[in-house]
This record gives sequence, structure tokens and C-alpha cells, in this order.
Amino acid sequence: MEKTETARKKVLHVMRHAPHGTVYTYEGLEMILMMAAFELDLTVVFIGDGVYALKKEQDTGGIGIKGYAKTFGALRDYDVEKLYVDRVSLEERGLAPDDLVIGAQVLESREIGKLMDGQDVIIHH
Amino acid sequence: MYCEYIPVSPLPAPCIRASNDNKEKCPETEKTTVRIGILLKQGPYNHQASDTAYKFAEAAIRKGHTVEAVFLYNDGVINATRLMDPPRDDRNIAARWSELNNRHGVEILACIAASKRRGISEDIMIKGSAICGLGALTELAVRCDRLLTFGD
Amino acid sequence: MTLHTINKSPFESRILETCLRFTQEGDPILFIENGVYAVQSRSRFSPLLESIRLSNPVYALQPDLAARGITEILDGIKTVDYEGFVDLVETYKVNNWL
Repeated sequence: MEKTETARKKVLHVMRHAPHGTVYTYEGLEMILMMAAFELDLTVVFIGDGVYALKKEQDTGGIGIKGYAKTFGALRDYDVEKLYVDRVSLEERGLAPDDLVIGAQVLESREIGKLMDGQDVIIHH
Repeated sequence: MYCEYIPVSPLPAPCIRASNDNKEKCPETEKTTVRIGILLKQGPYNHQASDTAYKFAEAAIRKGHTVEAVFLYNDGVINATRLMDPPRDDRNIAARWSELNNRHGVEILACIAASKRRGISEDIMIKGSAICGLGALTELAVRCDRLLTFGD
Repeated sequence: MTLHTINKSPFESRILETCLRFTQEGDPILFIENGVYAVQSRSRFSPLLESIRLSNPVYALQPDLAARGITEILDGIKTVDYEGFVDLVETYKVNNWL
């Protein structure tokens, strides 16, 4: 199969849930990691409670569920470079970029809206 | 049999399949046909997602579009167990997916990691379904004109 | 343009308000499943829906309205059956908000 830049499908993963309360974030992360191995134009945005997935100092030892915040932090090692956080969602929750495990770019809702508009596939987690 | 990618079986569709990102017109009806993939992220009965996904798939096929596959993820993998035995006056969601596969060639694919976690294996799965890696979903996203998600 | 689908009751979830921050002018919005409660007449969300309608076409899935006994819906909301849903998907790319 020819793998050219123009042939790459634009796939956006929208992280919407807080971690641990449901499995969506974790299995969403698994999907992102798997898709990173393919020739796709991959983007991940964190909206609403999804921003909590990136919060520093998560310790899941006491709840018996494997933590994965560090894996989000390592997404760039898997060539997932386009990571964006919704500014409104962050501020609503009293969080600042420094509270997050990755240096994700903070975007205005309007910019994220434009980003969504340009995608071929959008998957919410 | 586990597989990373299952080729889609030939469909009895009356129209030529649309190519990627380039919707084609059926030569007979002059209608545009779309290749559709469905990602189903919820288990059956708890949530309406399985029902909406099915009703949508049925309508799309009725309109001459191609539903390539339903990919089951999260608790959605429970859609494919043939151990389902609802009361007679209720719909059998698994049987319905099996029928969609049988009659229209729609692949019913369950994610291997999500299935293993939930105790779903091929020996308890409906006829016409298969366990696949997430590569199959990626491939589905690439070859379809649209990928719809149903879930909670 | 992109079709946005909403499947949560606005009384239960804030997803409608969240979604609206990201929609583009002209993007169609389709309410399905419990999402259809947003388009019923005389609810707390009626003014919001009235304002959305000025910039975006709004649809509701008729079988979901019927299943929930919603017979009175706001003016200007178009109803579609599953085939109408398919038509929208044929015309627009999709963003299924869950």
C-alpha cells in the first residue's frame, strides 16, 4: 500500500471521561497506542473530564486498578505528537498546564472546533 | 481463529462499492453509495446503543449503502456472545447481528484485548463473528467513507 | 461540514453544551436516544434550542421521540427516521458525541 502524506486519514481521538471511574479512558489509550503503529494522521484532544486523565500525581494503588497517566505522558514516544487540551475544560476544573503529565498544547474551543471539522474520523472515549 | 485483519466477504450489494473518500454512483440507480463502518462501544440491553447501531445499519443497507463491519469495543464485545437467551418477547441482540452478517455480509468483529478481558472467546461467539486486533478497526477507518460510533 | 449526534438527555448530561462550543456554523445536529428530550416543547432547554436553530439545522430521530411519548417538539426542528439519519451521514462527516 502506498503510504503518502496525502493518503493518510485524519483520525481524532476525543478523551472525554475522567480516568478509573470507567474503562473508556484506558481502553481509549490502548486504541490510540495501537493506531499509532499505522500510517494515520493521529490527533488526541482532551475535553471535559477527559483532562483529568492527564493530571499529575495519580496513585491508583489503593483502588486496585493499574494506573496509566505515565503512558499518556509517553505518547510522544509513540509518535503521537498532536496532543491538545481544551482551555475551558482545564480552567473550569481549576487546573493549569503545569498540573498535567504532558506538555499538551492548550487550545481555545474555537480552534478545537476547526480541528474537528478537518477530520475524517472522530472517536470519543 | 484469531486474526489481525479479516478480508470482507463479497456483498450481495447491487451497487459498485464506493472507493475511499470518493463516493461513487451506482450505475443502475444513479444514487451515491457510501461505505460505512460502525464502532459499537456498549454492551447489549443496558444501553440503547446496540439497537440504534442495528437500526442504522439496517436502514443504510436498505438504502443501498455498504456496511462493511461492526467493530465491537469496550463492553460492546458482549454483543457477540451466542449464550444470550432473552425472553421470547424481547429481541435477541446477538442473533440480530449474526443475521446481519448472514444476509448482508456485514463483518461482526470483536476487539481481542477487550474480549479477553471480559471472557469473550470465539467458542461462545455468534456465527459470522470473529475476534480481531485493533488493526482491523484502523483498517476499517481507512477504507470506509464514514466511521460511526455508538455507545454511552 | 460535520453532523454532530447527541444521545444524552440534557437534564442528565452537559454534553450538549460542551458539543456546542465546538460545532461550526451550519453543522447539523441530530438528537438520538435520550438526547431527544432536548427538543421537547416548554423545557428548560427550549431557549437554548431556539438559539441553536438560528445557526445550525437541528434534527431529532422520530422513532426515539415516539418511544418516549414526546409529541410536542419545538418549531423548526426537523424529524428524521433511520433512513433520514443515513441520508445525513451520507451528506456529512460524523462526530458522534457519546
